[in-house]
Amino acid sequence: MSIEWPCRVSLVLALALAGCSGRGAPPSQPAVRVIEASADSLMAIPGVVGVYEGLSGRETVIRIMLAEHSDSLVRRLPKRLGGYRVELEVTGPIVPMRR
Amino acid sequence: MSLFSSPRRLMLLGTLAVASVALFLAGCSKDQGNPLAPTTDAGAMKGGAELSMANPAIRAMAAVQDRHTADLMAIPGVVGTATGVDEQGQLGIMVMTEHAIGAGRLPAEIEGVRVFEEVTGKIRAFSVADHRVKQTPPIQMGTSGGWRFDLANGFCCGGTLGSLVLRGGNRYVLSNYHVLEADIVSGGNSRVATAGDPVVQPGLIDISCNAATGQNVATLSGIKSLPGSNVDAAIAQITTGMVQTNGSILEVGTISAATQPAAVGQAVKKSGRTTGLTRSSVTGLNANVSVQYENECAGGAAFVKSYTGQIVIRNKGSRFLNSGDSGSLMVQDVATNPRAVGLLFAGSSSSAIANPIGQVLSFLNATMVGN
Repeated sequence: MSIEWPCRVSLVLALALAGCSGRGAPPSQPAVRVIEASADSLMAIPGVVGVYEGLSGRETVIRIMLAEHSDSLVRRLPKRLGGYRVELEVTGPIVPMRR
Repeated sequence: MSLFSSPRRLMLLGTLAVASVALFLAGCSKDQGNPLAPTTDAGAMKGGAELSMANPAIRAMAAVQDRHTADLMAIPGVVGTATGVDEQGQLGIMVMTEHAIGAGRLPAEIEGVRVFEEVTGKIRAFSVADHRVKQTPPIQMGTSGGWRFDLANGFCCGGTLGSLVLRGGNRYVLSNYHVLEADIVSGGNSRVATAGDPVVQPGLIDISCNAATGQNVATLSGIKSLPGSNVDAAIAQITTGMVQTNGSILEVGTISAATQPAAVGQAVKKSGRTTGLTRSSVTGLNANVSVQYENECAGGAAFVKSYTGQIVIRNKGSRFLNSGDSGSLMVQDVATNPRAVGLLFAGSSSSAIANPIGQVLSFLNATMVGN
């Protein structure tokens, strides 16, 4: 099979760009449904204290709240969920605000 | 007030504001050349230059601020300017506003200096309402309060009596379960929170743990929302003559009887025992969060509650919500009769969490007292 070199270059560039952009399939359902489906498994990971739907600019993202930052914890967390980009937020533990 | 709740930042802002005015009056802000580099990252500058008026770049920035303060102050809603640092640590001209007025009405930069908005509310003298003192009845909400016997293990506890709700034709103070009803073991005080127990204003924490110094303003309903429901709410029926029946909240005033669902970016405010009247914005919805509860004041672990569908609010440096503010009602940040948005109950030094008010009222089968 022969492919002309400009086509080969274009193909390689396209694949490289797709790989670098970090974009996966677009969301197919509302973020609230994605959170409902994934919250239990995420919250079961020690150090995860919350997960919610937020905005980053105009982009809907799913934020995972962490009690503290650790590389081992970050490695266990997804970069995307249901087509939504995941952002990590170190909030510390969520505690009642009585005094 | 939120502006004054970060002493280091206040010190910097105060120093810069005062010094910039002094320098302006003395004419020292002239002939600085143009030391304003595009990089205005405070962290980057900390390594090589002091964040004070001794720094030529800061002086030049303050001079730009001085030259344009009159024009900025002429914009409706602007209540002050300063040379300061935003939440990302970027230096620039801070434009303090009463309510969020948006980037479209403010310049993005002036003479090459970045401009950013800081919603501070009205700048007032410190003689604002004290949310921790004993009020002359009938009292307003947004004040210190709690269960009269909330004393155990050598500590006393309390929170905020946030607002009034109407249930079955009667008016009730709305606060949190963990403020009013959470003592579920007799351990440290030989008591558990029981229907009919008094609710005091101020809370024990603000009257040296001596309930006799406070005043009974309501009685517990005995409704315990946790651990079974998805809200941290409790109500106490008001005592005749002790609470303003229109539901007025300190520094907020009366509210609407209608409610408002939260939205990301929505401007909100609250009136609470610890931080008083503060403002912020909603950063997230549909939050699942886990919260650990105690079984009495300074007691042992009771249970971990996993909530769904909660509201997340920006709380950088605990300036919006801090310990003792639990029970505060979060409302729209509008001047007149704001609608309730959420019931604040938990958080960290970066995020606050509120129950959606619709869930709270549905659980209690109640409505807000308001206009």
